[in-house]
Amino acid sequence: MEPVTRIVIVGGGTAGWLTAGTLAAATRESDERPLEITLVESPNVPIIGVGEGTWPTMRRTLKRMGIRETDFLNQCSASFKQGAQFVGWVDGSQGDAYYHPLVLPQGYFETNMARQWLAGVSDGSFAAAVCPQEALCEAGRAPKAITTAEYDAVANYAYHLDAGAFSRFLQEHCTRVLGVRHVAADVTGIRSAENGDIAAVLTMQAGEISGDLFIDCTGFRALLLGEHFGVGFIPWTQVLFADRALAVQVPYPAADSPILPHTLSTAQRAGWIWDIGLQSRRGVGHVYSSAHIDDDAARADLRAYVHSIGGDAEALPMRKIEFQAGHRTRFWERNCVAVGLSAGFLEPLEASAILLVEIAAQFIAEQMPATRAAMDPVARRYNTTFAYRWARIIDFLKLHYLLSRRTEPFWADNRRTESIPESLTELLTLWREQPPWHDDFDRAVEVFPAASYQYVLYGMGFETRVPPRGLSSQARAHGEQLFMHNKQEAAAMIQRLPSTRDLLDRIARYGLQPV
Amino acid sequence: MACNQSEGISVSNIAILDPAEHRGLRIRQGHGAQFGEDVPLVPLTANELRQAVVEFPVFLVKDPGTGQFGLCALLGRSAGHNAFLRGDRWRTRYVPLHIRRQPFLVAERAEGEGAVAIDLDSSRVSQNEGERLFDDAGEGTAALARARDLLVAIMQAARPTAAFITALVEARLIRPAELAGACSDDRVLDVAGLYEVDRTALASLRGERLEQLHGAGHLFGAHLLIASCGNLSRLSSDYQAD
Repeated sequence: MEPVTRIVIVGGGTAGWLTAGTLAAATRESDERPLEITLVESPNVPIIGVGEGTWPTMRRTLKRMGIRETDFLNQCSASFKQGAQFVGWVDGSQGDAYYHPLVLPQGYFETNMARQWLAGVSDGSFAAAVCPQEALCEAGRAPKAITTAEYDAVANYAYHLDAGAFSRFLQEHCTRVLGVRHVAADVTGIRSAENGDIAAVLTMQAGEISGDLFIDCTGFRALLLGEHFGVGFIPWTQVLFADRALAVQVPYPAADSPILPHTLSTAQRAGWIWDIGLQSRRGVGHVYSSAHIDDDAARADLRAYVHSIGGDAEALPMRKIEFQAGHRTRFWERNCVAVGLSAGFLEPLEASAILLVEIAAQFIAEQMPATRAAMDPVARRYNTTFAYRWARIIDFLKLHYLLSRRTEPFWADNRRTESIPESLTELLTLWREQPPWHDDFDRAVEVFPAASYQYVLYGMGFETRVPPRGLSSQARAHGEQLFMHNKQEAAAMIQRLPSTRDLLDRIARYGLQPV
Repeated sequence: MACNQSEGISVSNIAILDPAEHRGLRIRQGHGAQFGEDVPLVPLTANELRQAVVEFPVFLVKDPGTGQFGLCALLGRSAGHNAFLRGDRWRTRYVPLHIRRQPFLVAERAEGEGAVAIDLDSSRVSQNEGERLFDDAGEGTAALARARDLLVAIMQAARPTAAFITALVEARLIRPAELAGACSDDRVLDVAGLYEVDRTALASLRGERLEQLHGAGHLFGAHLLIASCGNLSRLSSDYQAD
């Protein structure tokens, strides 16, 4: 019996520190002799800092680490994200926009409101009819009030954050509060054990660091899983074409400029532009397919966008990131598991990057092998689970593209049958006849709920058959009640909630209460 | 259900008291709904706890503008209800400073320097009825002196009140109040946003943190708050003891 006691995380950044914090908090809570967690980080390699948008799961992730939400918001320039608005994705015409909110439809666990909406019980956009969040975003409202406790929500929310500040913030918390050992050193090699496991990483500045489980957070390089173990990479470029991003930081015109309460995602001729409101600036970036547009043209499109939101497009430096959509064939090999960009990368259309880190870290924390012997079965389960999760995310991202009616080559190519995963084709066949519902997704821990598919499908004007057997008068009355309730709830929330900027200013001044 | 002083200010007509301008003003004395005392919540200072907790249930309530906790006596079950007010008198041995100071308040003129201000829209303010504030020579009367003393007491209590609340919050001793069945059966409590001391958390305090709270007197204060919940039954209309 070789108990697992020493965890070595190679690489800092968002993935490394989120994993360190999640594991450290879990082991300190449950174990008499907590795991020893060491994070080795090169003092020379800059973090890539992708992903400035999170999912609502981040609230629980931070809370479990014992972080005060007030501190996180204030120190990471963070703001509230209430979903995304997709502009120009359907056909690019004037007024083409829809929301993918984070609040679930009214009555979600008992009544399929998509069926009600398709039957014409309510008019207006699907998102606005079934949940109050679109109205909140349109009114620029925050998802909570200053009297709402930390991490509690009036309307479900995630965050926009400054990835660099977030890594530093997590590092400080992990090392000061959670007992994570931080070693600033460059990894120069790996010492293998007789059985082929990694016994230790060799470093330039801190000698040899041995461990029982190694977590590869080395970014695109995948130093341990990719370079050392030679685990292959599955490209998904035939499904998701984007392979470049240009990122720029756009300052607000004034200190009290409004902050968008949602991610703005605007379709372009060969990709799309993200626009994310932080406290101190907007984070804007152009994701595009280099096969469909060259860098100069992409840069020009981004400049035009920055200009349109009042930024000094010529003066702001742009950073280029190259990537390939895809993931490793296996994520956990022997005593090494890859978390973050080392595991794979997909365009940030639905903020899946940080989410994948959270659910990976949570899986590892909850199913931490007790001994080396337990590791192989856990690894197999991990690989199956995450292969499924990546596939679902790829399906869901692709959905955004193939429902579009835009005519540029990039968009037309996105609708070619051979670019569409079979699993998605199958679902679309079903959804032409009946709306998405819980049983379409059978895993205990799905990444996207049926509601997300409903929001995107009906936001993009997808046509599902009107329920052929109709609605009983009882069902119709129940639906009417829920639609009415939603209207009232939206009006009451708008009345009660402050603007995002107002709330963040109050939080900076007074803080949120922990209860 | 707001329980803060700032909210009252924002909708009122506040002026810094000025002997020249306000010489003729009179202040109606006494108590009653006509003076806005028919409210279910009233702010308290930590310095009033010993007297207040033997009369009222005392909770923590967030200021709607800042989210910061304050101490409040719970007087009634819903808006417009004060179970402790009987016509023109309070049926308690103690009346909170916040009630007694009306219609006066402290206006901060400069850093740390307060001035007596008056809410000119208060129903206590009159031109021809009640006690005068200034005599013919423009000197303050005994009524003004009393008001000044009350405001000084409130000012002096601000820091200890904040320290007490901060200590409770940081020790994670506050939780949303669970009042199900606290009033008598047919009386639903329609006052939201009440927080109380978490007895389990209090009982599990150990070591240095416990000693600190004890040394600062906060432990005593926490127990006073818990004990005050015994007064919840007094909010019921069938409570007859007078």
